[in-house]
Amino acid sequence: MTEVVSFRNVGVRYESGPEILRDLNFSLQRGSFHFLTGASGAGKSTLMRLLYLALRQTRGEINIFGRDNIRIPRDELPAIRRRIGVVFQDFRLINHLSTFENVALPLRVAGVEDLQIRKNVTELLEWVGLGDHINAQPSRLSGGQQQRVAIARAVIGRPALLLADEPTGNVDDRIAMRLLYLFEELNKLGTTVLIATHNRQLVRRFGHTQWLLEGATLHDVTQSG
Amino acid sequence: MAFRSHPSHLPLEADSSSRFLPCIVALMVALLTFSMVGLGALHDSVGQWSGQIEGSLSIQVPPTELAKRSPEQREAALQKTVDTIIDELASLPGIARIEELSPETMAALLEPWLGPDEVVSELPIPRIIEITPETGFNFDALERQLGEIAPEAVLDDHRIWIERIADVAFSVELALTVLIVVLFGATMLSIVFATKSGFSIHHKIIELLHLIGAQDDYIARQFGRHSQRLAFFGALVGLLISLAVSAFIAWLGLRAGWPIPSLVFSPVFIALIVAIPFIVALVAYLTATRTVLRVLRQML
Repeated sequence: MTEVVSFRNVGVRYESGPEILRDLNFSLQRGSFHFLTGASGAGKSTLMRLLYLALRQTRGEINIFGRDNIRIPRDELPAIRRRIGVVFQDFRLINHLSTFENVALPLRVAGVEDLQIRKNVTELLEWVGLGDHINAQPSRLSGGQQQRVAIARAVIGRPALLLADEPTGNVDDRIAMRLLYLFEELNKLGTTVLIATHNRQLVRRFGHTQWLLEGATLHDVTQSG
Repeated sequence: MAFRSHPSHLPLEADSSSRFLPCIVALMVALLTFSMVGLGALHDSVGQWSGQIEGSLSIQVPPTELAKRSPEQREAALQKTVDTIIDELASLPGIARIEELSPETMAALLEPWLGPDEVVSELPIPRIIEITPETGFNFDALERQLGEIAPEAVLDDHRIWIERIADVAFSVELALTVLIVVLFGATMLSIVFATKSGFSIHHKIIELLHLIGAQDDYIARQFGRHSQRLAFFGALVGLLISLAVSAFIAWLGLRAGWPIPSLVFSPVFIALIVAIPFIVALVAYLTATRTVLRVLRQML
């Protein structure tokens, strides 16, 4: 398997405060599926921000798609970010845009042709069960529907790495299960998936690798889970 | 299935700057245009006043030396001096026309003070010679030669008035030019502040675009086009308002007998006025994109 991401002795601190993350050593192999668990404030979101290139480590080395994140020139970062799909905890949908336009956003910024955008977005929205809400504003959708829009936007560009920060935080167990099955489907297509969640009960139902962030360090809890 | 044409990715139309910016720009451009039209009209008027004064030099030939002579002798001697002055000065370069003010004209000019009686012709009234200069006119040579021909003659050149008018006009033109520069600067600053405020309002959306792989130029262009559109609309409204007000003032002026300012209607000036909304829009676009790019570069 190929390494999509690797962390070596990575630490993060904000200004002169204590280290939020310490001595992180792990790698994500291509096509792997991981859960990241931990209590609120354990540093899950900080780790996610490192992975989607919104934050830089204060020490250690991060390789992403085979490149040292520190050495990537700024003008090459957008192309790398387009290979990473992110489902944000707060969805970050643009309220004045329709469901269609929200999902189409990554394709638009990538300069994809309109015809291709229509075809791909329509297909994906049908697939996530939002075919009837294509022109709806996010504010008129339920929490679960908004979450599916956010997921559709994250996967529309067929990312090599999919990161989801608490994607099941605002939905009931039935919808949460459906979303996780959706991630599994994507994973079967070759996407590397990392899902941050504090819902360990839900995670146990799936047989994937489980990491626990505790005391600013990362622990593999797959066996003990 | 109906698809809407894809809208702006940033909800800039919904923020307060979308209403605020065109109003500010309209006000600024109205003041700017009004100042420019005022400057043009003033420049024209000063030119016309100066031209009118410069174009009518006069020589006064007083009869003081001949006061004790009889009226006939006095008039004959005066006429001889006047004829000599006209003959001698007519050959000087830069003099388009030189002629004596006729006795009838003099009498008509003095009538309000002395009445229409024959007494006017008996008084020792100075003779007036009018000179219309043209290119190549040399005031010093004229003054020197007049001194040789008739030392008692007085050359009235209006220079003190021209200098005073020029001083006042220069001060007003300078003040208006400074005002135009200040207004232009204020317009640009308002665009910068409105753009920065838009950026802080939509920081999360811009960050989202940044994180899903949008190039900085793409995000900056969104702000640039938005500011450009608003500034152009505001500038157009401001321009129309100021032109309407200027036209109304010009109409009142024409009724009061003011001269028509030719500079204001010159092709260059009209082109400059018409260009204002485009210049403002271009500057708004450049300012907005540069501001956004500067802020985006602070992100990873």
